[in-house]
Amino acid sequence: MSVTIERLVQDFGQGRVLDGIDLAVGKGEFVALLGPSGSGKTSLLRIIAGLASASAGRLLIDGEDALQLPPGERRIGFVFQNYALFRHMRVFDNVAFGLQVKPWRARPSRADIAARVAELLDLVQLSGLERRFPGQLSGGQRQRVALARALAVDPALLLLDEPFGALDAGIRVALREWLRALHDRLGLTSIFVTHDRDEALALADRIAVLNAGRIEQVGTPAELYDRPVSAFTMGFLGPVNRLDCALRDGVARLAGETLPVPDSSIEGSRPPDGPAMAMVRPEDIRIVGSAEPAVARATLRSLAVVGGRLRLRLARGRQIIEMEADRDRMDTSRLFPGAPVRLAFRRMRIFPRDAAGASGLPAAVADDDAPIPLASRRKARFGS
Amino acid sequence: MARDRRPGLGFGRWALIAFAGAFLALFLVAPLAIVFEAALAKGVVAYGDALAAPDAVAAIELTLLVAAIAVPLNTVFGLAASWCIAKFEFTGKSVLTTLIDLPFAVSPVISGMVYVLLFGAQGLLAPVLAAHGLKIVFAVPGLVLATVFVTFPFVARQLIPLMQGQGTGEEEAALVLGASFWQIVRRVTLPNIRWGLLYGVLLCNARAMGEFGAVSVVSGRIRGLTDTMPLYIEALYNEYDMVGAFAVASLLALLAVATLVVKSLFELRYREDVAPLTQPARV
Repeated sequence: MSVTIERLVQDFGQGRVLDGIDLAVGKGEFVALLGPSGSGKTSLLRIIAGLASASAGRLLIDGEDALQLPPGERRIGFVFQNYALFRHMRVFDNVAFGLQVKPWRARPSRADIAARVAELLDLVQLSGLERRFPGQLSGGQRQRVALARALAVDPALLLLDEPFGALDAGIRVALREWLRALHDRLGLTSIFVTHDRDEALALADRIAVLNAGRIEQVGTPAELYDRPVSAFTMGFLGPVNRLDCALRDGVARLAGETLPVPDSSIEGSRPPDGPAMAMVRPEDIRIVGSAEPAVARATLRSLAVVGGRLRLRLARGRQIIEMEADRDRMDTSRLFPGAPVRLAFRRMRIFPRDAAGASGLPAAVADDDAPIPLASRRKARFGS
Repeated sequence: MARDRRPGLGFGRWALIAFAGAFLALFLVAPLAIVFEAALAKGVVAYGDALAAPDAVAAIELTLLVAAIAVPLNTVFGLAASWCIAKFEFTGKSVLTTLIDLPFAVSPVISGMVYVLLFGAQGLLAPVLAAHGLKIVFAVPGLVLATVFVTFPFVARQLIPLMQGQGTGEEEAALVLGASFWQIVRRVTLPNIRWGLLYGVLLCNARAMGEFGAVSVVSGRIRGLTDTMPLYIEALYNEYDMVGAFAVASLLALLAVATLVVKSLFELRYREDVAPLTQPARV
C-alpha cells in the first residue's frame, strides 16, 4: 500500500501542530518519522490512522482520498505506544478481536479465527501464552501481542507509535531487528514514530525528520547523515559540535582564529556573509602537528578509551569540543590533560546562525544517550 | 509480597490494629448489633408481625419501587456522564463535573424543598401540572425525582476516576481494528469498568433505599401511601414502637451488610481476571 500526504495541516487554534506536511511512502517501505517531542510526528501518525482529523490537506492511501474514511476501513494496523492491550481479555481474545468484531457476513468461523490467532502467535513467538492476561506479560511480550493484534486484520499499512519506547535497552535492539525482518518477510508497508535517532537510522529505509510541525528533510539514513540540509537535521541525527564562525567574501573563519577554514573541508551550501554557525561531527576532527595548518586551537581536557575508539574532550575558551578517533590511528604519547592541541576538520557544514540557535538542542553536543536512563528505570518495574 | 519482619515495629503495629479494631467495634459494629437487639427484643414473632404489618409492607414495596426506578436511571446517567468526561474534551466539561457533585454539596432537605417549590401546590409549575391532572409532590413521582437527584453522583463519581485512569487507548485500538461504537462500549469500555460500575450501583442503591432528608420533604408522610422505609421507621420511632421501628431498620441494615458482602465476594472471585496492568508482571 502506498501513502501520499499533501500539504497536511493540523491547527487547533493555538499554533499549528502540523504545518504543511508533504510525504510519500511507497509500497514495502519502512519509513521513520523522527523528531523531538512536540514536533508533530505522533499527530501525523494519528491522522494517517484516522484517530485525529486534519484541518487541511490530503491523505491518499493507494491513490484514494482516505481522510473521510473511518479508521476501521483504512486497512491499517496500529501499534500504540503503551500497546493499549485490552486488559480484561486474554492474549487470545486480544489478537482475535479484529476478526471477532467484523460484521457477521465477513467474520471468519470460530475455527478459522482460532487458526489465524495460533498462526499469528507463532509468528510473534508467543505460542502457549494464549490464556494469559496482558498484566501477566513482560513488556516485550506485550509489544508482540500488540503487533499480532494489529496484524490479525491483514493491514496493508502498519503504523507504530514509539514501538520500542517502553522497553529495556537490551530487548529494544533485539526486538527492532526482529520487527524489521518481519516487515520484510510479510511485505508490509510501515511507518513508525520515534524520537530515538539510533532506532531510526538502524531500522528505516527512509527517515522523515520533523521539527515544529514541518518536515525538515526526507532521505535514506546515509543521505541524512552525510548531507543534512539544515542545522536541525545535522544536530538531530548525530553528535555534533557547534562553533561560532563568520563569513567574509565567502571565506569562513572560526571565531577567535586567524586562519580561514579551507574550502575543501566545507560541504554543502554556504550562507551569505555575516555571523554563522559551523557544525562538525566528533569523528571529523583531527589533531594536527605544527607543520600543518590548523583551523582551531584548543586544550585537551580528558581522554577516554571506549573500545576501539578514543573519546577526547577539548576546551576552546569556555566551549567543550567533543572529538572521536580510531585508537590505532592516533599517537597518544603526547596527549595529556592540559596539553595544547591544534585541530583541523575533515568535513564541516556552515549554517546561518539563527537557524542553528533555534534548533532547541543543547549548545555543545547533541544528547547522545538520552533514552537509555528511561529504559533502565523501567527495568525495576518489570523485573526479569 | 514479602512480609515486613523488621523488629521493633511489633508493639506499635499491634497498638494501631487494636485501636482501629476498637474504633470499628464502638462506632460501626455496636450500633449494628443494637439495631438487631432492639428489633428482636420481644421475640421473633413480634419481629415477624412488625414486618408483616400492611403499612410496613407498603413502605418496603414503595422503597423497592423508588429504587428500581432511580437506580437504573442514575446508572445510565452516570455511565453517560463519566464516558463524556473521561473520554472526550469539550467546552463546559468542568461545569458538568461540578454539576455532578452538586447533590453532594447541597443538603438533601434543600433538594427536597426545590422540588416542592417547583412542583408543589403553590409551585412554579403548579398551573401546568394541574391542567394535566399530574401530581408529583406528595406522590411517587416526587419521591423518585428527589431520590434520583440525591443519588445522582454515586455511579459517575465511582467511574470518572477509573475511566480517566484507563484513558482512551483501548477504545482507539478497537476503533482501528474496525469495531463499531456499540461493539466498543460492550466489549471494551464496559468490561473494563464492570467492578467500579457494580460498586457504584450498589452504593447508589443503598443510598436510594436509605435516603431520608429529601424524600421526607416531598413525601407528605401519608402512611401506607408515600412513606418509604426510612420515613416509616422514623414515624414508628416517634410513636415509641421500638420493635416496629427497629424491625424495618434491621432490613436496611441487612441491605448495607449485603451490599458490602456482595462487593467483597465479586472482588475476591474476579481479582485474577482483572489483574490491572499496574501490577508487576509475572514473567
